[in-house]
Amino acid sequence: MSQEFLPASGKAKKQLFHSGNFLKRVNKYKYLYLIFIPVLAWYIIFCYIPMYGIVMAFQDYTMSKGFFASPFVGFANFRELFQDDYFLRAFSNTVIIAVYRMLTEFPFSIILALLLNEIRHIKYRKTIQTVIYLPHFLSWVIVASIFITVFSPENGLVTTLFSTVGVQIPDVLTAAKSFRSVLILTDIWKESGWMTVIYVAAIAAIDIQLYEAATIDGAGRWLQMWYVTLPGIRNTIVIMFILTLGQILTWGFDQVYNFYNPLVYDTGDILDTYIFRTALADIRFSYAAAAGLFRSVICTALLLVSNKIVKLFGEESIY
Amino acid sequence: MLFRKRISLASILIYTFLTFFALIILIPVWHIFVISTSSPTVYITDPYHLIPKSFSLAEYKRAFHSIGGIARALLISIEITVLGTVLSMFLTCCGAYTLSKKDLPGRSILFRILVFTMFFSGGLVPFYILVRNLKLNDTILALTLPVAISTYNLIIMKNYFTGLPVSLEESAKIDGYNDIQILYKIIIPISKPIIAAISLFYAVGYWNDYFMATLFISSNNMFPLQILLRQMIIQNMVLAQVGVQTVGSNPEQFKMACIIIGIIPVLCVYPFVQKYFTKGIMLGAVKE
Repeated sequence: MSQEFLPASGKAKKQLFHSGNFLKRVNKYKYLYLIFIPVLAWYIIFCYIPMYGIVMAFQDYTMSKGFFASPFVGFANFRELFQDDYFLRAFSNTVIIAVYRMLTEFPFSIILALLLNEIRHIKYRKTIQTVIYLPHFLSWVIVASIFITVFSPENGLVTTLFSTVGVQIPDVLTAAKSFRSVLILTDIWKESGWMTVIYVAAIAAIDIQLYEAATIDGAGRWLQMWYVTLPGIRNTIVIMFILTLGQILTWGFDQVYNFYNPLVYDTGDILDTYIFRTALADIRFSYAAAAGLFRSVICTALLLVSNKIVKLFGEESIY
Repeated sequence: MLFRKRISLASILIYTFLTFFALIILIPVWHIFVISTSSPTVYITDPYHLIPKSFSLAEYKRAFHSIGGIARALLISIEITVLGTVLSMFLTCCGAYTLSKKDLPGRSILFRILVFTMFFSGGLVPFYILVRNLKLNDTILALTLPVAISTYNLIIMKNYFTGLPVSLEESAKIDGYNDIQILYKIIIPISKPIIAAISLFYAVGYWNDYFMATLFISSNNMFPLQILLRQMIIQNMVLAQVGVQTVGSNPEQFKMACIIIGIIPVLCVYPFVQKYFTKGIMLGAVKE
């Protein structure tokens, strides 16, 4: 029956399209097209024109010659890129830091959400939530400023606290060895609370009857958490995991840029900060554009794949 | 009996852990607040206390009166935030409402044009050159217009509009309203929660921005607050070098006061934002 139905509806659609109805509908919405013009113009100017700019990656671009007069150099920029130790270092740092984050921050936020769910005292729970969501809304400039103040080797709160109990802590924020840990811990400080929002919502959506049934079966809190809550949010966890994987290359510019310094480039320089420096400090536009294009292409691939997988799990992605 | 005891032990552990985590978030901020408001004499004798021993707003007054510094940066930040949020909301509402019409011819193409930009971008360099070529440098427009639309926010809003009852609009049509009038006389007033939430998200974004200013602002007297904070604390530049001149102030306390000045506006809007996301509006709205 559905086979009969489909072509018919297609035909009907076609007829609708051709029989002036289309123009009628366009006319009906003329005001909406009008207000959409600035939006479309914005997208064309600020998103699509820069895409045309990717030809820069294949040029030897100079500001004075501009787009149209700069000579083409083929893949020379890319060849140089893949022989550039600093670029490769930035790339591997990006991936390593992302992996560390997935291993620490990701499970931590799930545990945090599970623990929040165990709190029956509503007021206390609200207070904790208010506090742990808050840092998400502070800029990395502020967060870095706070940490630099508190960890300052001369007179920071933490440094002093440790030295009163007789422990001398090194200047962790500027040491290459500890820099990745600093990134991860500060990111946990700032974002892990906010990351619980989606899990808390998912837990709230679990059918309360499942808990009642589990209680009747004699399952205590931990068993309920293990057999009801976790399976209940399994899909959300998988989706968040995949979506986060899809963004590993775009993560962390603001954070790294506000925390790092030349001393920690070895362990902390990521792709985005490297591109930023080559473009704006070294003014190597074409070279940075090539690095940027490489990054964009991988990002797009990762995003497309991760969205495909999310759809396979039967969930709608937001797109 | 035994069972009960185990539960309460678990509760104690959970409560302790969460309280500990919350304190780790709060204490650094609190510490900075306490020190920034303690009187200079107290600060010199005891720079690390967490329980306020004195209260003085001297450094805040200095911050506002400092020559060429914080007050102007604060004004510029406010200007950016207000102008940017208005611009963003105007464009986002226009885009979202148009795309919320299911039988709008060309809707899916237009939608795809928008969504594509979430997957692929030209990268930093072409974007930078474009904005420079538009001669927007050193203007507030450079910090707002190029980042005015967040496609993600636009989609959330579109989904919200799609979920509104059609009957309202139909009766408005009978009254002779056109689509633009319907949008700002009916749709926007009944969509206050989502409008408020998205505006606040945009506003916080503009307030917190330093990146666009790093790219496109080169003259000292156009720097927003975040840039000043960055220069003073993160890059540890001498205050005078940043263009901030104060008399008789303690630099450490002065910097802390500036951090707090940067946090306060966020703290003021935070309860309103929180009201919306805890209700689950944002999350519910994401799913079509």
